[in-house]
Amino acid sequence: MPARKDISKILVIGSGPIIIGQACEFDYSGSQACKALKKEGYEVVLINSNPATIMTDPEFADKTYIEPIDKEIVKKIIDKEKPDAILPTMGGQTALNIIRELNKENYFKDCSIKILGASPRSIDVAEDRKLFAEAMSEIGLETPFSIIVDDKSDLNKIVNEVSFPLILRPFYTLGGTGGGIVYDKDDFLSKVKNAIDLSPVSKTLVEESLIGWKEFEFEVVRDSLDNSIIVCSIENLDPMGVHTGDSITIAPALTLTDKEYQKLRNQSIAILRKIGVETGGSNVQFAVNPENGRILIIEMNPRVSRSSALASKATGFPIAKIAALLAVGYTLDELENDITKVTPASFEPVIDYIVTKIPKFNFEKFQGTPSELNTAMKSVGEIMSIGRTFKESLLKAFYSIESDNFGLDISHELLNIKDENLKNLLTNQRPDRLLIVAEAIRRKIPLSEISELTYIDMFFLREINEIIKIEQQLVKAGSSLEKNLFIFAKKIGFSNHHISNLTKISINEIYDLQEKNNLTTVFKRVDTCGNEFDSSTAYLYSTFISEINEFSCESRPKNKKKIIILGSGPNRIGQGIEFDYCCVQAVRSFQKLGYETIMINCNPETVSTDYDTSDKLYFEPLDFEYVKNIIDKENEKGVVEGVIVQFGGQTPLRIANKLKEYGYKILGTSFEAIDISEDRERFQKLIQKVGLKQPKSDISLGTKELVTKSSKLKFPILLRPSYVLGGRMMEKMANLDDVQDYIDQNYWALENNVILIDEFLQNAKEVDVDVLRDNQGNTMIAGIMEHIEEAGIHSGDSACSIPPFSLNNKIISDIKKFSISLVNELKILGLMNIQYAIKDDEIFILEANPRASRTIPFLAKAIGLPFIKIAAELIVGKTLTKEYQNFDNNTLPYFAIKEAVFPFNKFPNTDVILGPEMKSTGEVMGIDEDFYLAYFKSQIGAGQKLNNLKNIFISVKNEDKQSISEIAKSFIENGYNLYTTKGTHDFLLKEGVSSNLVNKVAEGSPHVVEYIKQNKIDLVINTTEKKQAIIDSFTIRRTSVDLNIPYYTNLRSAEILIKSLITLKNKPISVKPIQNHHSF
Amino acid sequence: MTVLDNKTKLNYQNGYLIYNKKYIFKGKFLSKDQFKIAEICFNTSMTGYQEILTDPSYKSQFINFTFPLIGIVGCNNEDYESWKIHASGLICNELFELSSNWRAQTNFTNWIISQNSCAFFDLDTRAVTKIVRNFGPKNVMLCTEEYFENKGIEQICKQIDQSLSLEENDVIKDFTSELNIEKQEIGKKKFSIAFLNFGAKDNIKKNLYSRNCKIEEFDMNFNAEDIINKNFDGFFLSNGPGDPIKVYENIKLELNKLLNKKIPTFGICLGHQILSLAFNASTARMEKGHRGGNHPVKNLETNKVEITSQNHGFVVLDENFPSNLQITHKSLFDKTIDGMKANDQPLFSVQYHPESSPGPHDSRYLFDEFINLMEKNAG
Repeated sequence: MPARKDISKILVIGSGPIIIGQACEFDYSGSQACKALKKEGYEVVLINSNPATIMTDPEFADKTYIEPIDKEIVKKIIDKEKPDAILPTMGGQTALNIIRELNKENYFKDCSIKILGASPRSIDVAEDRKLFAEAMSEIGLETPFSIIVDDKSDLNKIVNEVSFPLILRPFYTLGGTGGGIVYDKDDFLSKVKNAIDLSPVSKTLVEESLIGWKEFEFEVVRDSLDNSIIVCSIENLDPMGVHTGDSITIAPALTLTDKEYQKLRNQSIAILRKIGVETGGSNVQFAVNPENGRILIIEMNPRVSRSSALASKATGFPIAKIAALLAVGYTLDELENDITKVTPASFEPVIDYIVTKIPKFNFEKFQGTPSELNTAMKSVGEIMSIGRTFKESLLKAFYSIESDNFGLDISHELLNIKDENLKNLLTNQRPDRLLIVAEAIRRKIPLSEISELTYIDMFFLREINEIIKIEQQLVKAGSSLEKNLFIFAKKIGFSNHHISNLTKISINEIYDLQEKNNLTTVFKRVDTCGNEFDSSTAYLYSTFISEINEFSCESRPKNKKKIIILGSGPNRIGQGIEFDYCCVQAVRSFQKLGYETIMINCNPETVSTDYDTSDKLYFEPLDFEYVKNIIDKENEKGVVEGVIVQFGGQTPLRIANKLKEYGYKILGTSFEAIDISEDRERFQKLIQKVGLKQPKSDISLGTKELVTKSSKLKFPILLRPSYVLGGRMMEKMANLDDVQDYIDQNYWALENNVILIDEFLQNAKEVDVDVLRDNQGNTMIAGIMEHIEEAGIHSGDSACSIPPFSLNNKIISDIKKFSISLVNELKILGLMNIQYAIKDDEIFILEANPRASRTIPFLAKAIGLPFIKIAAELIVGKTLTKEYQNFDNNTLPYFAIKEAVFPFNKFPNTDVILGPEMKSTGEVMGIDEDFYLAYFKSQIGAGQKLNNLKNIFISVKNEDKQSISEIAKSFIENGYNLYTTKGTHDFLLKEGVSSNLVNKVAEGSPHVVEYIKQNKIDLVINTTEKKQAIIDSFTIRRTSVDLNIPYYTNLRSAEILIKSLITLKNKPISVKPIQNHHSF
Repeated sequence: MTVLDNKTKLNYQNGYLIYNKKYIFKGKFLSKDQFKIAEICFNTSMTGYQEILTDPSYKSQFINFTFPLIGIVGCNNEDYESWKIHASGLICNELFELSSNWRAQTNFTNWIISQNSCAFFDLDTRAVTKIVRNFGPKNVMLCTEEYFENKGIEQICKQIDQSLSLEENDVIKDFTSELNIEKQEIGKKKFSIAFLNFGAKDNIKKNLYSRNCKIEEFDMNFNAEDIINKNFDGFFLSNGPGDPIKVYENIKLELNKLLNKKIPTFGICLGHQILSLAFNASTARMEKGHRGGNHPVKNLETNKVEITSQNHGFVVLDENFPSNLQITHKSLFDKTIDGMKANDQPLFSVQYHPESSPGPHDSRYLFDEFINLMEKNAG
């Protein structure tokens, strides 16, 4: 059936801010869907609160609402736009939840809106544990046994109905306290009682234990005629118990016979049919007992998912695009396979390579949470690698992940660990488990024993064993490395850098050895068909083949002018979707200018790694060797004009020096300028020349001189290692004791590093500025953004407003002046981001980044100008128009506010206080003519539950007390109840504000944390400093996070919030698409 | 299996794959023989190497697996599609000596050697696929390095050129001479079927057994009178190796006698081609054949798509397609005929493998249709 004619306007719901478990894969799927639907002639209305996404670019939808994805807001948009249909299956759990909430209100009962993809009923069955288990049993499939126990008197009855072992998961206990395995009846009675006691809500989950079971996933696509295909199977290297998002996963499944594979295939299709996913993509997860093949259904997602993004990249089959077209009535046989262009979409992709996904973790940013994996996802990003063998694929994955240690090397801290302790670590599900496995193999612990401890399949262990054997041969060979072993190592998948590391032969000599022996890398195509048909799509990966013929390499470089764009690698805190936005925009711009665009990246979640984003996609590690191979290959025919390093965050800058050393051209800002801005001394000279001030600072080489150098500056000071992103390990020190603690905690990371020491400016305002410059020296200020929080909180974690809301004209014009002189001095070509602090009307520079920044996508959406497109044009020699040079964004008739979104709920026991080290995973934008409403929108967009606030708890540090009295007065005048602890209470009383006194935790029951747990507090305002006070008030903040109660740890935001709440009383929230806001 | 010091354990040596003078691949040769010659084809299945290698239709062929890792799940006693490996050998990127699967009983490399088959690995099989696709299937040689050096390329190419092609080679006769017909009559069954075995996969029989059928097997030398006298409820024509015309020429007279009885008849793969020939359709060699487990087929009667398992190098042609047959299935890959039924008798056949194994189970309903035909005919 062709596309439906009974609908013409479709509302697509996006997934909102990037959070753990819901990242930029939904930008990838959502933008594919929007593109496909628009191309079919539908009018697309989009709601997504996340300005960093590509899908919220004005051209992707006819109407783009960057508004909070909230039930009431969605209703307002529906009222205004009157869409014929809603597509909720592209926006992750967020979008499905909106449909569930609306359905609960019977919202769809009286309106004619069609829900495409999955019906509200099928969403309910898939999401509700009980309904799902029932549905599965109706089609003869098993789900793991699972019950919630909240009544201790039931235990004697239940104990006779269960089989062991079981797993306990008490609700809301810190770090899963009280949870564990139960082996028999006696165990059961005592442990379940204990678990119920420990849980603040007196409830525990009791589940069948699947310890040691294997986990598989199937990606299914189904159409309205009940045609189904499996796009990809995925095998988790990690056993059950590790969230699949945190697991190392392999595609396709490798340890299943056809009999077992077909069983899972049949069940996957039967499940989609039963749940009633009428059209589109779904993901089914299985647990398989490796002892006997017994299969249990873990879950199914009636929507595209992180796994479907991975499956799309792994196979070349665009699941989201096809799912969107199926949702509007097409059937699989009517659609073309985009990659081959000769086969239909109904054909099941086959692959002739191995794909490995490795998740990226940021545990180091969340002190208090142990680095252990469980069923709650913790990873913040991932990479994918493609190789012709598992070994090659795994090694490439390790070269892609940008970790602190190299290849399969164990981290420094564990280098001297005893064998017995190492074995203990093997039983833990740690983020670095494969490195521990590799070390165990080096120490000759038998593979069978490792398998028993880790439950990792012997196949994978044997493969890692082979890698370690070669590693050891390379170490043994050292400087006398022979050609045969070198070729052999290359065939296994070792990179030159790795070989150099192991043999201690200099990297340049390794390149010489390779060139001398005429050993070149070849590129193969991802073609969905195992080379059965010719593929015109240039989606490529490298492999090493020693015997080359005319069919070995499938890169087929064209005789064109080319530009290579380096992507940003794995998402991590500090470097996320924003940079993918930049890369994709740059690709589009260069394409329009007539260049062949070549993208290199290894992040499967992104739009940049979609095969039709660039003219050519190389799915490769962003390591110099892989980039070099591609440039050399592309230079065989046509000309690579240069490599772009300024759109991919810090990742491409890491190899900029090597590119320069080997004589490859970097387009845009020169390596020289990059070096100046990264080099402390050179940068200081530059800012002196420009006439700028900087907080007093020093550097320390390693930790030895850190204490002495620190003591010469005025505390508080900031410490951080140089060359880091997202303020990694950047911490504020109140005194020398703090410095000593800092050294103790980070010794290994600091030891061989330069550590930067800065005096900290207390209570200063912070400002972010993005500037463009062309090769004639013309400049454009893209935006001056004022932070809501004071300086000292990482710019990525601060809310900020465009235009600035409290800076005077003199400051603004001075900032402009300084920024322009700085970009001119550095001869920036393209973009630069500068951060300033303003203290008592004095301007200090904090940082300058000679590249596109995190704030550029936000600015582009807020203002409506394609800054990346402009920057790309400047890079290839165009000049700024007069209009752009005179552009002044301070006259906008509205405010756009960016707010950060944090993953604290995933990291139990971690404090939520913000500081110089970035912790947020995502951002949202609130836009409105009224500053306070824009702020309010940004807050609900970020997930704060601000409806029906009544009881406000306030506890602030001494220096904030003066300012809090105004805020407290406002709350009371507007009918809120205030609860305060002693210090704040007494101070307010003196100021004539009366509030309800509650105990601090240390003062005993009934105390504030009990109030929070009993739902007596709706909003927490808590500012604090000094170690002991922070420790004392920790549970207040932590409980708020755990129970999803809005909290503010910063006075400036609390102040704006109360004004927002007051504004809201007289002015209802309205919605407006950005296309109507923009005046450009 | 790529690590240097495994060599002694595995008993493989350096070797060569010779397609022709121009395309020679270095690799590793695991074989008891110094050399082997057979026609090369490629298969895109990602699972089921044991079933594929034991499928009699692959008799006298080297199978180049496009999936790069072969042998991980070992072999077991349940996944045979006949009593032994029929393929002349396999070609793959990487071979695994040790298995990892709860059902594995034998390690893959041991099995290959014990079955007198051979394996050639550690080469760019993706380039091999491209060569087969571009220049067509032909006989190739796998040999040891020693043999290659002693004989020289000229001599080897001559050897290849002089070897019999698949069409010339009477593989079906070889198969029939090896076939050990089992007479199965377990319990009381509803339908009895005369099962013409030209190289059948075991899973076809299993599908019939599980649908309450008893079968009696006949090989290509069957006598029509014998079969007719036994009053079977249905006839089945199996898959098998080689050129259908060759088989048809051999059995034409006897087969027509059977078909004249208008008893419910079902054919798979070679069986489908033979039945089509019997109705005066024509068949031809395909440029590259269909071999894999992901082929979409459209059922023209229901408009539904089935993902099917396929293994054929010959095909029934659209040209001169007889008017007393009706096309029921088409390949969505290249629109070739994938299924037909007769207009005036209960007879149908498909080009692909509804019994799959390996491959998706989407088309198992065809066995039910065969049962329905027999039911109707009986009632």
